[in-house]
Amino acid sequence: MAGSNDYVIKAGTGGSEVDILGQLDGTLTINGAPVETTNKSSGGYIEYLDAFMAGKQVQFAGNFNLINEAGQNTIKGDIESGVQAEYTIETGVGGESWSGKFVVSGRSDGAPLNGVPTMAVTFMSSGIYTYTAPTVV
Amino acid sequence: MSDSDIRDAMVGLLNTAGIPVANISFENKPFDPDDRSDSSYYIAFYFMPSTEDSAGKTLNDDSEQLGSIQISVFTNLNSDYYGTKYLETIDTIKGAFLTGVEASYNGQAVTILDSSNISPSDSESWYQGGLTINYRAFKKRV
Repeated sequence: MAGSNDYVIKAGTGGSEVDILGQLDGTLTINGAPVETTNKSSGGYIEYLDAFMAGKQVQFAGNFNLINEAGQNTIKGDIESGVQAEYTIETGVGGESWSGKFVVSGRSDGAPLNGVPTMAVTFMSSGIYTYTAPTVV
Repeated sequence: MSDSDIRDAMVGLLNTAGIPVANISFENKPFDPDDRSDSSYYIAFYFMPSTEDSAGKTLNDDSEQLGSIQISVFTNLNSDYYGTKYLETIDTIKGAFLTGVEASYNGQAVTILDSSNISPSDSESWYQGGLTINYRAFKKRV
Protein backbone atom coordinates (compact mmCIF):
# COMPACT_ATOMS: atom_id res chain seq x y z
CA MET A 1 0.00 0.00 0.00
CA ALA A 2 1.17 3.46 -0.77
CA GLY A 3 2.08 5.60 2.19
CA SER A 4 2.02 9.32 2.67
CA ASN A 5 5.77 9.54 2.34
CA ASP A 6 6.18 7.90 -1.02
CA TYR A 7 7.63 9.57 -4.08
CA VAL A 8 11.03 10.35 -2.71
CA ILE A 9 13.82 11.67 -4.90
CA LYS A 10 17.31 10.55 -3.97
CA ALA A 11 20.74 11.47 -5.20
CA GLY A 12 22.53 8.71 -7.08
CA THR A 13 21.50 5.49 -8.75
CA GLY A 14 22.22 1.78 -8.74
CA GLY A 15 21.78 1.05 -5.08
CA SER A 16 23.96 3.88 -3.81
CA GLU A 17 21.17 6.39 -3.47
CA VAL A 18 21.46 9.00 -0.76
CA ASP A 19 18.58 10.79 0.91
CA ILE A 20 18.09 14.48 0.23
CA LEU A 21 16.82 15.72 3.54
CA GLY A 22 13.91 18.09 3.93
CA GLN A 23 11.76 16.82 1.07
CA LEU A 24 8.12 17.71 1.39
CA ASP A 25 5.48 17.22 -1.29
CA GLY A 26 6.33 16.44 -4.87
CA THR A 27 4.72 15.98 -8.26
CA LEU A 28 5.86 13.46 -10.84
CA THR A 29 5.16 14.07 -14.52
CA ILE A 30 5.99 11.76 -17.39
CA ASN A 31 6.39 13.68 -20.61
CA GLY A 32 6.14 12.23 -24.09
CA ALA A 33 3.93 12.55 -27.12
CA PRO A 34 2.88 9.94 -29.67
CA VAL A 35 4.07 10.47 -33.23
CA GLU A 36 1.25 10.67 -35.70
CA THR A 37 1.54 8.59 -38.86
CA THR A 38 -1.91 9.21 -40.27
CA ASN A 39 -2.00 8.89 -44.06
CA LYS A 40 -4.44 8.09 -46.80
CA SER A 41 -4.37 4.39 -46.01
CA SER A 42 -5.53 5.15 -42.48
CA GLY A 43 -9.00 5.50 -43.89
CA GLY A 44 -9.62 8.76 -42.18
CA TYR A 45 -8.60 7.52 -38.73
CA ILE A 46 -5.75 8.96 -36.78
CA GLU A 47 -2.77 6.65 -36.36
CA TYR A 48 0.32 6.82 -34.21
CA LEU A 49 3.69 5.16 -34.48
CA ASP A 50 3.58 1.98 -32.45
CA ALA A 51 5.90 1.49 -29.48
CA PHE A 52 7.39 4.96 -29.74
CA MET A 53 7.00 8.20 -27.80
CA ALA A 54 8.72 11.41 -28.75
CA GLY A 55 10.11 13.77 -26.14
CA LYS A 56 10.34 11.20 -23.37
CA GLN A 57 11.23 12.75 -20.09
CA VAL A 58 10.41 12.36 -16.43
CA GLN A 59 10.03 15.47 -14.34
CA PHE A 60 9.80 15.75 -10.60
CA ALA A 61 8.78 19.00 -9.00
CA GLY A 62 9.59 18.92 -5.32
CA ASN A 63 9.41 21.19 -2.33
CA PHE A 64 12.02 21.09 0.40
CA ASN A 65 12.40 22.61 3.80
CA LEU A 66 15.53 24.68 3.28
CA ILE A 67 18.25 23.31 5.49
CA ASN A 68 22.00 23.42 5.40
CA GLU A 69 22.45 19.86 4.28
CA ALA A 70 24.93 18.25 1.89
CA GLY A 71 22.35 16.89 -0.55
CA GLN A 72 20.47 20.14 -0.79
CA ASN A 73 23.68 22.11 -1.16
CA THR A 74 24.68 19.90 -4.09
CA ILE A 75 21.34 20.64 -5.73
CA LYS A 76 21.81 24.36 -5.18
CA GLY A 77 25.23 24.18 -6.81
CA ASP A 78 23.93 22.17 -9.76
CA ILE A 79 21.16 24.70 -10.32
CA GLU A 80 23.71 27.48 -10.57
CA SER A 81 26.07 25.58 -12.86
CA GLY A 82 23.61 23.54 -14.89
CA VAL A 83 25.57 20.41 -14.08
CA GLN A 84 23.57 17.20 -14.56
CA ALA A 85 23.71 14.55 -11.89
CA GLU A 86 22.20 11.15 -11.27
CA TYR A 87 18.99 10.89 -9.30
CA THR A 88 16.42 8.25 -8.55
CA ILE A 89 12.73 8.79 -7.95
CA GLU A 90 11.14 6.07 -5.86
CA THR A 91 7.39 5.82 -5.60
CA GLY A 92 7.23 3.29 -2.82
CA VAL A 93 4.44 1.57 -4.74
CA GLY A 94 5.62 -1.84 -5.85
CA GLY A 95 9.20 -0.66 -6.25
CA GLU A 96 8.44 1.58 -9.22
CA SER A 97 11.24 4.01 -9.89
CA TRP A 98 12.96 6.19 -12.45
CA SER A 99 16.67 6.83 -12.41
CA GLY A 100 19.12 8.61 -14.63
CA LYS A 101 20.71 11.96 -15.31
CA PHE A 102 18.66 14.93 -14.29
CA VAL A 103 19.12 18.66 -14.65
CA VAL A 104 17.73 20.74 -11.80
CA SER A 105 16.15 24.10 -12.44
CA GLY A 106 13.32 26.42 -11.58
CA ARG A 107 14.40 27.09 -8.03
CA SER A 108 11.91 29.23 -6.20
CA ASP A 109 12.32 29.88 -2.50
CA GLY A 110 9.65 30.92 -0.05
CA ALA A 111 10.60 32.74 3.12
CA PRO A 112 7.58 33.32 5.34
CA LEU A 113 7.85 35.58 8.34
CA ASN A 114 8.48 33.48 11.42
CA GLY A 115 8.20 30.35 9.32
CA VAL A 116 10.46 27.74 7.81
CA PRO A 117 11.91 28.75 4.41
CA THR A 118 11.20 26.33 1.60
CA MET A 119 12.72 25.66 -1.81
CA ALA A 120 10.77 24.47 -4.82
CA VAL A 121 12.83 22.89 -7.60
CA THR A 122 12.19 20.81 -10.69
CA PHE A 123 14.27 17.80 -11.66
CA MET A 124 14.14 17.09 -15.40
CA SER A 125 15.64 13.95 -16.88
CA SER A 126 18.21 14.40 -19.61
CA GLY A 127 18.72 11.56 -22.03
CA ILE A 128 17.76 7.97 -21.42
CA TYR A 129 16.49 7.03 -18.01
CA THR A 130 15.94 3.64 -16.42
CA TYR A 131 12.41 2.74 -15.55
CA THR A 132 11.67 0.02 -13.03
CA ALA A 133 8.11 -1.22 -13.30
CA PRO A 134 6.13 -1.93 -10.16
CA THR A 135 5.69 -5.50 -9.10
CA VAL A 136 2.87 -7.11 -7.18
CA VAL A 137 4.09 -9.18 -4.27
CA MET B 1 18.86 15.56 20.56
CA SER B 2 15.82 15.29 22.77
CA ASP B 3 13.00 17.11 24.45
CA SER B 4 15.28 17.42 27.44
CA ASP B 5 17.82 19.33 25.33
CA ILE B 6 15.06 21.62 24.03
CA ARG B 7 13.98 22.32 27.59
CA ASP B 8 17.53 23.02 28.68
CA ALA B 9 18.03 25.39 25.75
CA MET B 10 14.99 27.33 26.93
CA VAL B 11 16.26 27.35 30.49
CA GLY B 12 19.53 28.69 29.13
CA LEU B 13 17.66 31.56 27.51
CA LEU B 14 15.82 32.24 30.74
CA ASN B 15 19.15 32.42 32.54
CA THR B 16 20.22 35.25 30.23
CA ALA B 17 17.35 37.32 31.61
CA GLY B 18 19.24 37.63 34.87
CA ILE B 19 16.49 36.38 37.17
CA PRO B 20 18.25 34.97 40.26
CA VAL B 21 18.07 31.20 40.38
CA ALA B 22 16.69 31.48 43.91
CA ASN B 23 13.64 33.19 42.40
CA ILE B 24 12.89 30.50 39.83
CA SER B 25 10.65 27.56 40.51
CA PHE B 26 11.08 24.63 38.14
CA GLU B 27 8.67 21.82 37.48
CA ASN B 28 8.59 18.99 39.96
CA LYS B 29 11.24 20.53 42.16
CA PRO B 30 10.79 21.77 45.74
CA PHE B 31 10.71 25.55 45.95
CA ASP B 32 10.19 28.08 48.71
CA PRO B 33 9.80 31.78 47.89
CA ASP B 34 12.12 34.12 49.75
CA ASP B 35 11.01 36.09 52.80
CA ARG B 36 8.01 38.19 51.96
CA SER B 37 8.39 41.89 51.34
CA ASP B 38 6.86 44.38 48.95
CA SER B 39 9.54 43.58 46.40
CA SER B 40 9.20 39.83 46.70
CA TYR B 41 8.66 37.96 43.50
CA TYR B 42 9.36 34.64 41.90
CA ILE B 43 8.70 32.97 38.59
CA ALA B 44 7.69 29.44 37.70
CA PHE B 45 8.96 27.72 34.56
CA TYR B 46 6.89 25.13 32.72
CA PHE B 47 8.03 23.29 29.58
CA MET B 48 5.18 22.22 27.33
CA PRO B 49 6.13 20.56 24.03
CA SER B 50 3.12 20.23 21.77
CA THR B 51 3.07 18.93 18.21
CA GLU B 52 5.75 16.98 16.43
CA ASP B 53 5.69 16.39 12.69
CA SER B 54 8.14 15.11 10.16
CA ALA B 55 10.17 17.81 8.46
CA GLY B 56 10.84 15.56 5.49
CA LYS B 57 9.88 12.26 3.92
CA THR B 58 12.66 9.99 5.10
CA LEU B 59 13.51 8.53 8.46
CA ASN B 60 16.76 10.45 8.33
CA ASP B 61 14.86 13.72 8.33
CA ASP B 62 14.31 15.87 11.38
CA SER B 63 11.07 16.22 13.26
CA GLU B 64 9.66 19.69 13.65
CA GLN B 65 8.51 20.23 17.19
CA LEU B 66 6.28 23.14 18.11
CA GLY B 67 5.64 23.89 21.72
CA SER B 68 5.67 26.52 24.36
CA ILE B 69 7.00 27.37 27.72
CA GLN B 70 4.90 29.11 30.29
CA ILE B 71 6.54 31.42 32.75
CA SER B 72 4.28 32.43 35.60
CA VAL B 73 5.25 35.57 37.46
CA PHE B 74 4.29 35.99 41.10
CA THR B 75 4.69 39.33 42.87
CA ASN B 76 3.59 40.33 46.33
CA LEU B 77 -0.15 40.89 46.53
CA ASN B 78 -1.29 44.37 47.61
CA SER B 79 2.23 45.78 47.49
CA ASP B 80 3.10 49.44 47.06
CA TYR B 81 4.44 48.81 43.57
CA TYR B 82 1.13 49.36 41.71
CA GLY B 83 1.88 46.27 39.66
CA THR B 84 5.07 47.73 38.26
CA LYS B 85 7.22 45.02 39.82
CA TYR B 86 5.16 42.51 37.91
CA LEU B 87 5.52 44.41 34.63
CA GLU B 88 9.23 44.95 35.12
CA THR B 89 9.69 41.23 35.61
CA ILE B 90 7.63 40.47 32.52
CA ASP B 91 9.74 42.92 30.49
CA THR B 92 12.92 41.32 31.76
CA ILE B 93 11.75 37.89 30.64
CA LYS B 94 10.45 39.14 27.30
CA GLY B 95 13.87 40.62 26.60
CA ALA B 96 15.39 37.15 26.70
CA PHE B 97 12.74 35.56 24.49
CA LEU B 98 12.49 37.92 21.54
CA THR B 99 11.02 36.62 18.30
CA GLY B 100 13.72 35.05 16.16
CA VAL B 101 16.16 34.48 19.01
CA GLU B 102 17.87 31.11 18.73
CA ALA B 103 19.21 29.11 21.61
CA SER B 104 20.92 25.76 21.67
CA TYR B 105 21.89 23.12 24.15
CA ASN B 106 23.92 20.02 23.40
CA GLY B 107 23.64 20.80 19.70
CA GLN B 108 19.85 21.13 19.80
CA ALA B 109 18.70 24.47 18.41
CA VAL B 110 15.44 26.16 19.37
CA THR B 111 13.91 29.25 17.79
CA ILE B 112 11.56 31.61 19.58
CA LEU B 113 8.43 32.32 17.55
CA ASP B 114 6.25 34.65 19.60
CA SER B 115 4.81 35.21 23.03
CA SER B 116 1.53 36.16 24.62
CA ASN B 117 0.65 37.59 27.99
CA ILE B 118 -1.35 35.87 30.68
CA SER B 119 -3.35 38.57 32.41
CA PRO B 120 -2.44 38.92 36.08
CA SER B 121 -4.93 38.25 38.82
CA ASP B 122 -4.97 37.54 42.54
CA SER B 123 -3.74 34.07 43.43
CA GLU B 124 -3.82 33.35 47.13
CA SER B 125 -1.25 35.74 48.56
CA TRP B 126 0.35 36.53 45.21
CA TYR B 127 -0.39 38.69 42.20
CA GLN B 128 0.06 36.15 39.40
CA GLY B 129 0.34 36.47 35.65
CA GLY B 130 2.88 35.43 33.12
CA LEU B 131 3.92 34.72 29.59
CA THR B 132 3.39 31.94 27.13
CA ILE B 133 6.33 31.71 24.74
CA ASN B 134 6.05 29.60 21.60
CA TYR B 135 9.03 27.92 20.01
CA ARG B 136 10.04 25.74 17.07
CA ALA B 137 12.78 23.14 17.14
CA PHE B 138 14.03 20.62 14.63
CA LYS B 139 15.20 17.45 16.28
CA LYS B 140 16.65 14.23 14.95
CA ARG B 141 14.09 11.45 14.56
CA VAL B 142 16.50 8.56 14.75
